[in-house]
Amino acid sequence: MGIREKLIELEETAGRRFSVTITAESGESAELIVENCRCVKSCDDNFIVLSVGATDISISGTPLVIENFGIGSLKITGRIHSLTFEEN
Amino acid sequence: MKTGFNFGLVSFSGLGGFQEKMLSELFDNEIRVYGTRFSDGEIFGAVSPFDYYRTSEIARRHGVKLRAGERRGLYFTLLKYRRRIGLYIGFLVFVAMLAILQTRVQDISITGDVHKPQVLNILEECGITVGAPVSSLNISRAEHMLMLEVDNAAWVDVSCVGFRVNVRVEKGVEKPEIEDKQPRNIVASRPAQIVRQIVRDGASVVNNGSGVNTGDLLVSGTVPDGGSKVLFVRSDAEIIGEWTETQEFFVPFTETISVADGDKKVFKWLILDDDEYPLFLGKATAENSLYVEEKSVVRIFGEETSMLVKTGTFTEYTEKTITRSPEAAASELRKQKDNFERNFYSDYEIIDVVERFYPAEDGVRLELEYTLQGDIAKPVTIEYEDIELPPVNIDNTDKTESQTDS
Repeated sequence: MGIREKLIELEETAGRRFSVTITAESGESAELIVENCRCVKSCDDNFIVLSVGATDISISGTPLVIENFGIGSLKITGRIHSLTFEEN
Repeated sequence: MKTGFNFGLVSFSGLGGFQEKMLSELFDNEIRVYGTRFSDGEIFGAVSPFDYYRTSEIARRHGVKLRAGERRGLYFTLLKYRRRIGLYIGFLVFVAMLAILQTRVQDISITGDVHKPQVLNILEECGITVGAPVSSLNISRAEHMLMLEVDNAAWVDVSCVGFRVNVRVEKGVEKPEIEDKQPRNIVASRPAQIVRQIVRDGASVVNNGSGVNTGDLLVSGTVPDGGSKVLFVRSDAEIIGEWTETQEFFVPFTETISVADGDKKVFKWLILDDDEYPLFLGKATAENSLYVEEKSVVRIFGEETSMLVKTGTFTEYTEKTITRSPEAAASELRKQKDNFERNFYSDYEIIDVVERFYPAEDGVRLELEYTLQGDIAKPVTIEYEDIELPPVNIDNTDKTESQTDS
């Protein structure tokens, strides 16, 4: 495997990796930080689906507010009810 | 999005189209979107004013009808005042003035127990004055000069902070007054009759009721030790004498005097702590005038502040010719008499005073005959050579007797 192929593989691996951090207090608004996300698949005021690499992250809650910061980093705040990871 | 948030924010709402795709592309383009939320098919958010144009382009590409909402922040405030060139020029002039004034001494602060005008004169000799360039100040020379010129200066510190020159001069502890141990006599300072005497040290040589002339010995500093020797002591006594003095005063009926009732010039200063700021241009001076100064507290909405306003009033003297009645002349003479007593007889006790008025054509003359009492003791140091004195026989009865015998 040449250097070019190795770099492509590294890029693909990096593209597939993501991290989700949740900070929540009972009864209060939670904060969910997703890194390495560049695509919002669908969204409305109670439901957001994010596409990260080969995984879809579904977030449901009320009311959900999105903010982006840095490169590919998203922060979702609101009363989060559920979080689902799904292979696409 | 790298910049823009600190300068302002544009709120937007988007309707229809592919809002998710629009949002993804905004993220891809690194456009920071604040508070994105969805409601009833509408997307809401806010972007920097610098990113709004790109945001609207992306929205159009994805069929989202974007509508700008509230605009807030410094960017829009400045935009509102962009035609007010005077504001910007004023600000630039202010910055320029600040920069220029920083290069020159604006204030000299002097602390310590020193005579401030003297310190200011020394600083002026060293080129440190208000308005002098900060870069050319010779601080060390000023410190040396202050050490040399200020009496009993223990240490000095001259420093320049910004446009203010701080001078601190600390003086050393004053030498304690050491009592002179030199022996002395006490003589009469004036002709008088001795009334009473309190002799603390030394030997009195006068009696009460006796008259003395100027320079007469009152208390001797040489006292016998009870044997054959003389002791030198430092005489200390209070010798109260009585004497008479005659004074004369004259007040004319017609006189030209200076009265402060001319033009008034009022100058005001604002006082903040130790600093005074003149509220006028030029110098506060007026020739041949009476100066009166008063201070008042500055009140804002009835509340006292720490600021004071100093008001200095110069009233010009004018020449006036006045004519007095005999009664007014007598009253003026009494006023002169009171002033004289206050100024010259405050150390004496006035035992008696006889007033005699002599009216004349042009005025009234007052003759006063005072009987005064006061301390007439005047110490005089005994000069002697520091050698062993030969024994002095005070009591020479034996010698006389032996001479008589022989």
